[in-house]
Amino acid sequence: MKKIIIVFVLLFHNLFAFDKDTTLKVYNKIFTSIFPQKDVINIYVLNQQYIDLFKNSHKFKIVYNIKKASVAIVTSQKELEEIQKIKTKNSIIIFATQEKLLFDNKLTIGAFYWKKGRSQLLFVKDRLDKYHIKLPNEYDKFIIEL
Amino acid sequence: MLNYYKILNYLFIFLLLTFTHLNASSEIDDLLSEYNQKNRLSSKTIDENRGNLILFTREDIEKMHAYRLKDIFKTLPLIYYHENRYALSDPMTSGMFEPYRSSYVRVFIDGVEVTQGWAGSGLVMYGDINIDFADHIEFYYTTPSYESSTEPAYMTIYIYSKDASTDSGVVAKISQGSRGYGEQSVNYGDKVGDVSYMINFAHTDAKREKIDNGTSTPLSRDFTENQLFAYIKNDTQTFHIQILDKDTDSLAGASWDATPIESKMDYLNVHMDYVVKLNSFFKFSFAYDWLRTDFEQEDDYPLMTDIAHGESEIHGFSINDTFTSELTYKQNIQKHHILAGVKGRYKRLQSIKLDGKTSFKPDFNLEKIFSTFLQDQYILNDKEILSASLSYTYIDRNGGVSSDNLFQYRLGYIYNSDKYTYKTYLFRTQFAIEPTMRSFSYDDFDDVNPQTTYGISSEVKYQTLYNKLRVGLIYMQDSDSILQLGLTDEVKDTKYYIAFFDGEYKFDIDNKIALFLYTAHYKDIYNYDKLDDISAYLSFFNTYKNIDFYNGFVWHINSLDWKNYIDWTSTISWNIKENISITLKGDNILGKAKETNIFRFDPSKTPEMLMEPLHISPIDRSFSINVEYRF
Repeated sequence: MKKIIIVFVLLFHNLFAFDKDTTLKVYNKIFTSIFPQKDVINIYVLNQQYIDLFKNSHKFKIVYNIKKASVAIVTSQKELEEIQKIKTKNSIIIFATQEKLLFDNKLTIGAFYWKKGRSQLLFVKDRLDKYHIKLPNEYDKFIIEL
Repeated sequence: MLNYYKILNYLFIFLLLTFTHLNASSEIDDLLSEYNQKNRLSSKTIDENRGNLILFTREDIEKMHAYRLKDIFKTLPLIYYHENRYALSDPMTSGMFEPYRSSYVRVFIDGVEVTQGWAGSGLVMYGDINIDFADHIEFYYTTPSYESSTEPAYMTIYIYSKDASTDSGVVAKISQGSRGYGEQSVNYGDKVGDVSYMINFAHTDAKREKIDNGTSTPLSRDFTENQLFAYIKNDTQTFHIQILDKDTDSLAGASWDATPIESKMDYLNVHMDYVVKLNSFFKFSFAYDWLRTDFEQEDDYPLMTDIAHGESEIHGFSINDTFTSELTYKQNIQKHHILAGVKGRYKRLQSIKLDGKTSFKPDFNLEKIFSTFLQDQYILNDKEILSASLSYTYIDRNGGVSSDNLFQYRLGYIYNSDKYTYKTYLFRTQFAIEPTMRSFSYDDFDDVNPQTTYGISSEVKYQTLYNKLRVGLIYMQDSDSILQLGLTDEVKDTKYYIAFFDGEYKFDIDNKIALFLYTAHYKDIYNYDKLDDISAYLSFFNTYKNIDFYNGFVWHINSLDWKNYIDWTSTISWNIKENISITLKGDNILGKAKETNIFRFDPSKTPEMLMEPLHISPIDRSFSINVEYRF
């Protein structure tokens, strides 16, 4: 029965937010590159869709205290403001899912978002430098200077 | 001039080789490519059972810098794009004197048909619309699923709009091109809570190539167009509105010898639809289409349209509208995926008014259409599906014009695994000629049998993240072919033998090459005993740093004269910043795109003599500069 359902999913797609498997693979790759030394990465995220995405992953652990997080994922301006209110030090890394949250906020190091019918991945060079993050060469074309 | 093109060709090949070898895919490239493929809106709307698909993704459309539907349409080797003697989108036109011939190509926007009652298909107005609002476009060949069509179709075009939740904000585009061609558009979308909305406005001032007709006044097809597209929707309800206001010079118009003194047609078209998911089983939709056509036609001799009643000059307007409603039902019962629906359509030619005073209604001014369908997709196992569909359509007409009963079926088999898809269909389809042919043609088409087509199609596809290979075979046979209406010779069944190859190779996430190759052998089509047709679409998509390149070559040749037609489109786009880009674009750069033959009679001779036809390319040779800004 499960296989039949899979076939239906293939043939009769319904609109949904994103494909979880590939989305998780992409975040796994990005954050493993940012934190190569960490076996498990603590994530602070408020958006329920992203909580559902990360909660069953062995690589990520969702934390509810921002001070215990290695990275905060922000999906809206409101979330960004919430995080900025809580945050006391600049040690936490902020990663966004919208272009404007990267360009309008100097604390956001990078963003992975959808634009022009395809995914876009961007990091800002001086913000990576500020956190002493050195990404592998394969990310060179995704790093910009603002 | 030829040397200039050779230099451009060499430069292009050099650039292609350079870019494709400079870029090597990395692990993150592969992941992003996989992510793009699985998360595109297009991948969520494609239904393998709809038919044989050619897909243009958002990325394709953006990189091709296709601003109008015909920029996409012209790359379809199986059908190409043509305009008729009124400069209207009419891909199936014979170039003879019929008012319209492409009623079995149907256009859908976000799943709802945009129709134009009296011409039969919305393609007449929407074949050349601005597609700035579109996310992706799907073309389905042969007999598509009956799910969406109220009336039978041979080919369906599905345009899906951008999703406001991923395309929020404002995008403005300005384009300026050859002969003073100008196009501007602005798109705004947002999502508030669970409600998303989008508004798109486009203005076009098209200065097109003039056509020499042997007189001091060449034929013109310039037009000015304002287009509005808007929607508001949530998870269960959608409301769309589209308004198209187009004032156009109508080429040869109703002049037999294509030497009109005056030839103008102005159109005001409104489409509205409302779709609601009543529950998990039922969906209801209602659509309304309205068209006012103002015409100014004048010639030295009597005009060819029947409403001129032998006069050489007509000025006036006509109004027609169409109401469509449908209820569909979908349910899975064990291994059966059942889909059923009832649909109704009411087409009305409201009035024709000449010289602002004489108002009349032809005897034939109403069509009432009732259609119903049932489809069962039976799951054989986790990879195989059997599909059976039945459809019945009844068309009732007034004014002593015969009614039609259309019966159709389609049987299919689909195999679908991770990399391989095989599908085959056996089908019977029936088409009726559209009302325009009956009411405005110089011939009497009151009592015409519907066309009956039997066919079989098969295709096999192999697809991985970076490669796609697809081959297909189609055989069809038409009885009472609509394509042969009006011919005086003995009419035989038209037979089609078609083969196609569709391949794509991605070097990495930014660079790909694609080839669509098509060959067809026809027997007894139009008034030809046989006809061979070969065509191809070869395209290159390349990116180097923040510069995008697109080169597309559409090639056509047929046995009528074995003349090569090549339409080369090229764009270079510089993405200056994340939110601003400048693009240089050339269309039909070589000036050798496929032409439509527009036939002519000399009415001054007795008997009237067939003249050398005009050879007119629907694609202008043009160059433009385009700026896109996001904020």
